[in-house]
Amino acid sequence: MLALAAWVMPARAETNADAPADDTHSFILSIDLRAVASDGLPSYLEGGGGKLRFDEDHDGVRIGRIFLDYRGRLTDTLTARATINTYGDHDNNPVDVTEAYLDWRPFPAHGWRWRTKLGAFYPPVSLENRAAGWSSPYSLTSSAINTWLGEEFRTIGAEVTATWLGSQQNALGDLSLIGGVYEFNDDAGLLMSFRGWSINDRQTPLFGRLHFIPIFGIFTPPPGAEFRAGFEFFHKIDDRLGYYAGIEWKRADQITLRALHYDNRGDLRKFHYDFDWLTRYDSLGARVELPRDWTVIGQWMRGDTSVGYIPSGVTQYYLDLDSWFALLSKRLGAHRVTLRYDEFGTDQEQGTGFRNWDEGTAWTLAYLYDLDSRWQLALESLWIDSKLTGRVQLGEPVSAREQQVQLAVRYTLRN
Amino acid sequence: MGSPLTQAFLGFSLVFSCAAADALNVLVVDPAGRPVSEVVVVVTPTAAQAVRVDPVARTHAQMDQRNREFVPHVLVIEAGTWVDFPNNDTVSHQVYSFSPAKPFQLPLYKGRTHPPVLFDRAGVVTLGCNIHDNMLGYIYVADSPWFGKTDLDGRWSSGELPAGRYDLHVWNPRLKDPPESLHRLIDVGVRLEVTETFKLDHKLKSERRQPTDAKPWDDY
Repeated sequence: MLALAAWVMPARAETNADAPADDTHSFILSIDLRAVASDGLPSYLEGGGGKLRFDEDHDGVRIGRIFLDYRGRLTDTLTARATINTYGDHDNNPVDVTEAYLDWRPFPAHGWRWRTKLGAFYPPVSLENRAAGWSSPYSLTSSAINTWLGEEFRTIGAEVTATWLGSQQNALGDLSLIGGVYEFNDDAGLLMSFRGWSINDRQTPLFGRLHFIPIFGIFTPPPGAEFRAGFEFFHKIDDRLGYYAGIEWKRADQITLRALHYDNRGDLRKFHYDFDWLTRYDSLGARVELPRDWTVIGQWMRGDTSVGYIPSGVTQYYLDLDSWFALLSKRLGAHRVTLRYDEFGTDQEQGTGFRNWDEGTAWTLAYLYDLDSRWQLALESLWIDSKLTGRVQLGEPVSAREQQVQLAVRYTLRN
Repeated sequence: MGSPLTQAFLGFSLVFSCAAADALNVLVVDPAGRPVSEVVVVVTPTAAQAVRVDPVARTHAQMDQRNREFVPHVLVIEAGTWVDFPNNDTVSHQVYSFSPAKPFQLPLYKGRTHPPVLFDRAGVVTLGCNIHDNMLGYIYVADSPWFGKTDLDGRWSSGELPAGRYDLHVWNPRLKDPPESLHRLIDVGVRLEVTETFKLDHKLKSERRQPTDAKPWDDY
């Protein structure tokens, strides 16, 4: 990393207004170290039923995240982007990729612009994770909805957006229609089914795997088949393409409204080391930038996930899921304060097998302070009240209040 | 100096200099009577006259890019003007327009990479950046040498104007009044000073605010 920093820095020194730097290749390197205090149940990352990334036995000084975001201009309208990270948790690969894609954005014609993304990237759900490396500029952790998105979803495929540039034509804003097709998301729903919702800042890398499986041992694999050790998230089990379709309306950067329907079209009859999960959801979101640097964000999601085909037509395991959050953030110069309230839950009305559902609420209060253009201090307190019925199997209390306080020191280098 | 156009122009100049020279004052106020600034005012002779008073001095203008905004937000120029689009931001921009008066594209750049662009047809040209959709700018290309923008008091003054009949037009992207109510026919030369007041019937569209964040985010 230091070698990389030394390589990036001279490029910055050459930047001035008279001889603008060539930004054909741009990098953002971010190092985030934490001092964490947590009273949480054993974390789901350790095989426990806790909702937090850091539990009582795994707090102290930790790596929050180190990431490198790269953007390269291949042609005038074609950009390559990639993010590599390390979290210092029990990840399969110490350094791994979260996103890598090509972004083709030709000039608009007749009031419309087509944008095509190809590769591995996030489906357009989060209105919160808008900074480099899909991080949130408002707090350290993401809301329950966007945490789940970062953990279990990636579009490994193509997305096309057609935008009617209304603001160029004296209309009140721009309207976009978004469609995506993808593979390699046949495991989506796995972590939700065992752990339920969580609030953290982890993004599962493309080749990542969780070594511990909380509340497991419920499914019987088909005769002759074997489970892979641990969770692997992004792989292909069936031959069906998943899809999503969405619509977005945007007025300058002041108002963004978005709706999306997602369906991974999992084939419940398939099994290849893991079961094939069928996961669908609808998502709505709004972000409004108010005068005096106030930001309001709200998102809502409702869906279901199921697994385990039984010829009678009823799946072994079926889970309804829903969540929403409201976020209020205020920036004052180099200071930012954010308050977020999350509600989440899963419910089982069908299914013949294992019973496990959760519900809960959470408050997040964050304060971020930019010391200069490179250094940032962030203090965040997170309280989660949750109920997870499967905790009984681990000898843990079904209901728990967990709190986690994190102080982050972040250093960001840009070329 | 000997072209027919130049001769015609000189001839008209003589005619105009003999006619009564007036000043046209324009005032634009909103429905509450408050002055509206940054409104383009263009005074176009209705008859085909050789009006180009000083062709050399008006040929260049500049539309700057700073802090991910076009500066000025609204530029008014005479048809036949070359406009430079320097990018003084730390990030690259990709400027385009698909307006009928001047469709053009400037491939990704910083600084003063591209030669100036000629705007030779009258009309409103809306500018965008293909990288930053929030960037929006306007160039009003006037078919006349008499133009300007209202000041903080909502006023603009033409200075000396040859006698004759003119179309007076006020324009700004935030005005919601019907286009025909923003045009007026005026006769100059009858009185010493003409003052035209546009009292708008409709409130202005809200201003597009840019987030003032020191570190603009890359939106996903």
